[in-house]
Amino acid sequence: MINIIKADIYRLLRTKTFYIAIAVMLFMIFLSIYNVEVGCIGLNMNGAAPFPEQQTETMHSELENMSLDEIADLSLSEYRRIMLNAENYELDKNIIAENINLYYIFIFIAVAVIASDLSSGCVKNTLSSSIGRNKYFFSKIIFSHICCVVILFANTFLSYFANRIFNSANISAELGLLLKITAMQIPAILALASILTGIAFIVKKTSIFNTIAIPFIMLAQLLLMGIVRISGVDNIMNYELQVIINRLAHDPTKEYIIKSYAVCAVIIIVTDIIGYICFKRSEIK
Amino acid sequence: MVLCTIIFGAVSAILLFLLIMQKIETKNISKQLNEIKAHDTNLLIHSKTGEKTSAALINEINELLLEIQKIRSDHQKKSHALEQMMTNISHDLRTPLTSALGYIRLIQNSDIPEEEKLLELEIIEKRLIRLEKLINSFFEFSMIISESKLPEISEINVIAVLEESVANYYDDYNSHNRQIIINCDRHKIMLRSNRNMLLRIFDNLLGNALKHGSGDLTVTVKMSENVQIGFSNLSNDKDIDTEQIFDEFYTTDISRTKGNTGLGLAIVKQFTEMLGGKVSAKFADGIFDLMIKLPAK
Amino acid sequence: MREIVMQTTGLTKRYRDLTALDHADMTVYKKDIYGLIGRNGAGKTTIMKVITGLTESSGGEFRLFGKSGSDADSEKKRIGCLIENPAFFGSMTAYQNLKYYALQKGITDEKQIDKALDLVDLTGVKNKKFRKFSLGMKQRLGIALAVMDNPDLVILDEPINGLDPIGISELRETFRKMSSERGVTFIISSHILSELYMVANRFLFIDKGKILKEITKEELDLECMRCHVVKTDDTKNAAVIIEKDLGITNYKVIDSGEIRIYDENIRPDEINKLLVRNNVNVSGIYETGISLEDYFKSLVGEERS
Repeated sequence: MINIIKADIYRLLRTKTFYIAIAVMLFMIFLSIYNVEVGCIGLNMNGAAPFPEQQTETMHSELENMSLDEIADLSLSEYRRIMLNAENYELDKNIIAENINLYYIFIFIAVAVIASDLSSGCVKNTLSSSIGRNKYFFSKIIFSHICCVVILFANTFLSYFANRIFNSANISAELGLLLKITAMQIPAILALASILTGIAFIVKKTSIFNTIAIPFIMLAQLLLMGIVRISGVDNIMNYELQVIINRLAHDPTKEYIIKSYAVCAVIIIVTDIIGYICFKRSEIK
Repeated sequence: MVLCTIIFGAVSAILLFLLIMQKIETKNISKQLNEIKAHDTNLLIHSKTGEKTSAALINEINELLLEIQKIRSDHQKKSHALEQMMTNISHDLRTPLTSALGYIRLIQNSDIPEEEKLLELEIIEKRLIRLEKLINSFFEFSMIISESKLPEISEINVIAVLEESVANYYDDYNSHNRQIIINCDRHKIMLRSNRNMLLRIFDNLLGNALKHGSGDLTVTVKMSENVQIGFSNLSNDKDIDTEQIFDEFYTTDISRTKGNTGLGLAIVKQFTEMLGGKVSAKFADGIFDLMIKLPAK
Repeated sequence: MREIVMQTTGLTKRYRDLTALDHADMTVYKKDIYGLIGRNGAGKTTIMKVITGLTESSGGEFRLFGKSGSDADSEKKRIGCLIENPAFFGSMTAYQNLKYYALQKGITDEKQIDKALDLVDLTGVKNKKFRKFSLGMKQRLGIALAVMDNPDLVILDEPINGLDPIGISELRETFRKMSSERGVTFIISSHILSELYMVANRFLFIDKGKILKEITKEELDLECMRCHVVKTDDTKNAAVIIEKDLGITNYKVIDSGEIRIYDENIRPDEINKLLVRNNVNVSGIYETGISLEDYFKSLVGEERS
């Protein structure tokens, strides 16, 4: 297993995909830092999920005294000046609260590590020699997950330092807190990674993988919202992945942590099992 | 305080990890060596973790394994070739013997005139002489292999021995319209050597050139820090492997049909080396060159 | 007895609408260079895929180095193979591609990679990216990967695809050397009979998933040898007459219309007279030695009829 992981590190460093992924991550951080605002890839969930248990502290800034038209007329440098002086606003914490954004980086990883191997037929070189399907499957899964966790922490560190350097310490949280939040987010991140690796092992072709994986998050969210509307059970939205990642950044209750971790565990187990079954039975072209 | 504990914990974890890796690797190497011993295989040892010092160890083991594989395959080739040679030799020995017996029976059984009987007795003699030669060379060679014979060294005139050998073969060459040309500017070169072995070396080389070469044989003697004697002649062989010709089992296709055992040049090499010298061969543009170097006084 | 390296018994592979392999039996001994001959789609690649585990068989069994079933998995590390098109990563060079697989297998000595590249004559382009390779070079890299790890059994699927004549003959020599000097066994498939004939010592003819014949080179030579062909529709009686009255034993009845006599000293007119006198109709007597292609065609023809 270690051999396969070592070989994959060797290969990863020599493919474009990996460097593109890092570039995208840096770009996303740059955008957030520069605009002093966090974008997100999924649907805007802030209204959808009810927050009965906790109080979130609200931000205070000059924006409160301006009308919407005036805010829209602000130039970027003006906006930055205002935001840098805001109170109760921690940019880096908000950035990592929207770590669902890392989903697109993870797609690159899944493609580089798994999909390209299966798609190009190179997997037959591995499987026809001493490495069995089980070992191959687990090594790839473990390696992708490790990569995703490394990216998760890299994202946190980079956001923190970039924020402190280019913006001001005023709108920055403590590194210790950020790391704690990041560590808490690990199961959710692993769930994301599992979904992607599962899809990769099921479809095996890079083109199909991209077609499914890219809109997947949004489609899943839409589906969940539809279910909520039909069944009327609002609580389900609390356990959607984007919401989980967000809430873990905002001082969640112990009960919530346990429940959300359970959801993540289920996702990880189910996707891995499905991926494994599909891979084990498949014909290698 | 907490920081210290964390650092200490991290360092111990890393060390433990490395230790476990090392153990896994060592166990893995033992297991693989076990399997390799059990099968006749070309497999080499693989590393399970890629750890550096184990990798160096694995490389050393693999080099040894490769050597063992090579020795095994060489051994198989040699024993196959030995079988082959045994068959050839027994065939070679049997042929003149059978022929001689046949002629004897002929003389015994039929009524033939005296002159014919004499002729046939001559033929029988020739066959038996050939048989004797073959048995001699085989016996000689087996003695060399067992290395029980040490050459007696005395002061020898190399040129005289060379001339004696040339004289032995003069008639044979002449009858094929071929000549032996000796290029030498001295009449005497004294060496500490063994007369019989030198004679055998030259005999074999001249005989070899007679059998396998064509045209004239040129023998060149040069004296520098050692004595160099070169034997050069044309050759019709398509392909001479100048490394393998000194191999006791090597015969090209053509020589097999001429009834050679391949021992001639092998004896040349062995004897030359026993006398402290070196032998080498070159084959280019249809010319076969063989060089003997003997240490001078 | 020679060691059996690979053996299949009743091996079958069925896809939804097609039987790719139908109860295949074959035996490969150590040091064999075993040739699989068949048309495109005959089942050669399927056999290779099954024994290397890329595909599950639908029935029957195969033994690798004497072990079958899940035990055979541990023997897979003694195999090197190139099946179908050589697959490598386009953005990496030849050397990097091989190094990737070397790392996966746990090969610790980098020199093995260089040796493999040297064996297939790719040392000059080892730093060229794979996507810039010609077909022949890609093929060679595939072969390099197959032999890199010192295997005992090398399985090659149409290895000479895209190679030039010099490359083909060099490869032939390499295979022969590996087989004789290091005891490596080869299973090579091709649809070019003449090429395979020059390198293999045993052959398996396969068509539409069925094994037509398993035969050694000596036997194949005999079958294709120069002979006299007697064309008659009464082969039974003709055979009896030939044996009894002419004392010829070295003959073969090919099918219901042909007898081949391998004896050297045949007088066609004698045979003709003899047979006709015994009321056996002879429609033709001629001398022939068949080509390998014709032999193959005749095998395929026999199956169909």
